[in-house]
Amino acid sequence: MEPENIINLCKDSNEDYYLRTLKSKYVAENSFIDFYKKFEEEASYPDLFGKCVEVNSSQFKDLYNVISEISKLLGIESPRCFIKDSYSYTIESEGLNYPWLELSAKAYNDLSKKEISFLIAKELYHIANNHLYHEIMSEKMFDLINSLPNIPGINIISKFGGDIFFEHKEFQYRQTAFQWFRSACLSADNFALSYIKDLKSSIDAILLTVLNERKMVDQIDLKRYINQIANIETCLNPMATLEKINEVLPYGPYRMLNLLRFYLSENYYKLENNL
Amino acid sequence: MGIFDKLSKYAEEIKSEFEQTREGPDEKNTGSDDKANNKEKKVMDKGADFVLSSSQKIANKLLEKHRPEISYSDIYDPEIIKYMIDAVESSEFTKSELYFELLYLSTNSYQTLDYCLTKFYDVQAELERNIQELKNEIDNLSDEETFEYENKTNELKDLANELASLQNGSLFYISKILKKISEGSKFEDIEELIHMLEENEPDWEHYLLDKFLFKHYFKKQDVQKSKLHFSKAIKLNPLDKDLLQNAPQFNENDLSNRTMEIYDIIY
Repeated sequence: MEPENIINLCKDSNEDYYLRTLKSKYVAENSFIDFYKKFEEEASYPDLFGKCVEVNSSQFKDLYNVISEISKLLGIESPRCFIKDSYSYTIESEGLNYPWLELSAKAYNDLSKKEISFLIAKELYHIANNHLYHEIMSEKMFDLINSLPNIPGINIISKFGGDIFFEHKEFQYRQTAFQWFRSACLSADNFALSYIKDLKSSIDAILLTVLNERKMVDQIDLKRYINQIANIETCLNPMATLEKINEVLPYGPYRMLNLLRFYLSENYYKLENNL
Repeated sequence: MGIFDKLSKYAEEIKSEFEQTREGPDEKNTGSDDKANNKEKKVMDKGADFVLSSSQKIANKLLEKHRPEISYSDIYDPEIIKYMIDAVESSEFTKSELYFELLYLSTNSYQTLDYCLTKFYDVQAELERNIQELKNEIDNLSDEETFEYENKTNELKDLANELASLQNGSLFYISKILKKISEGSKFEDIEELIHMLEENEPDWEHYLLDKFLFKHYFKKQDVQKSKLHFSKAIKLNPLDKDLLQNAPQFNENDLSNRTMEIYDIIY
């Protein structure tokens, strides 16, 4: 199956719409991206090589093979991967010129092969679907909005109306950006499940990154956990609603429900037989 | 959340000052000190109230355009649905903001279906009443060449469109069909409504209705239709024990294996 088809079959139904809305708010896109590529990306390299261990064909070969296999499926160059010291189960993807993965040593030590494969597949989907680009643009837009009140000329607005105008703009932008990213995360989860083809390991991998403790994950009654959605939805007062809007990642129960739904979907069936 | 942080911090400061003054007059205080303290307390109290209510108002204002939708396709427990209806009815959101989401939500259980129907007929009656009033006003206008005539005619068109979309939307048919099902009507009595629903919205999906149709077609041994409605219903509510347990063996794909696997993980 073509990489583009794989990416599209995994997409959350709202992702494209949210991304269009987000992109419509971008300004100075080329300048921001150029600046990141030319200056900021390289700033991470010293710490990567100085504090982490790189995955390659002679060390952590198992991870190296998994990354190569998934990258091939998604039609991207195999990114470098670094193991870093951390007390939590984390994996992150960074970089635009040469994207790379950062996996925590705790995840490598404690997670099963399928669970790690899930996390890697999820992150590689973010790279393949250009999510890193929009994450970086979103960060730059936040920086821009926050620095506006200090720019001579524009700061006249804050003299009359305080910071409310700028904070309102930042709120609007954050709401759009986080909404897109939550949807993008669900798409990445869908791909990771399709790749490892194991529902239980996918559920555990997500729960481990959310709760960070195997003993807790083993105790969970999944039905009750998913039913916590009702409790979240009933938090309707304005302050609670603002808290919900401020979440970058979808809450765990929503990710579980999304996973079950995707597992039962026609798209999963198509992918299962072609990956 | 800068603006709210600032307001809350400000309110906290006022409150803490208020608490300090509430500790009461010390032994040396005279009666006039008491009066002054009480006055000060009242001012502090009002100040704190003002800041907190302003904070709420700003939050509401921000949420007017950016409030996330209620995830109505994720909630099926009638008690929770009732709670949501009460919470929204008593919240500061205007009804129009949550109106359709709440109506859809109430169709997710037979026990809360009446809320949808009652509200639905209320809105329908109000629209019909407004249309009639507007028609009368237009009839009474003698000159058809005025801006007033044109404005009212346009308004009438908008209301008529609103009424038509209400009466042709999936919510209208779904709630009516479910009501008939809950009253034990025969399938022949709802067939026409289902046909009209499919004509108006071919991509409709609804957990309760899809579940009902799956069971109906399964009994009739219509594999194609029962499979279609089963897959829609189970996707909407993958926690439904009844559906997970009774997933039929469809030949074309491994949907039944996947439902069994989910059953094993969840129950």
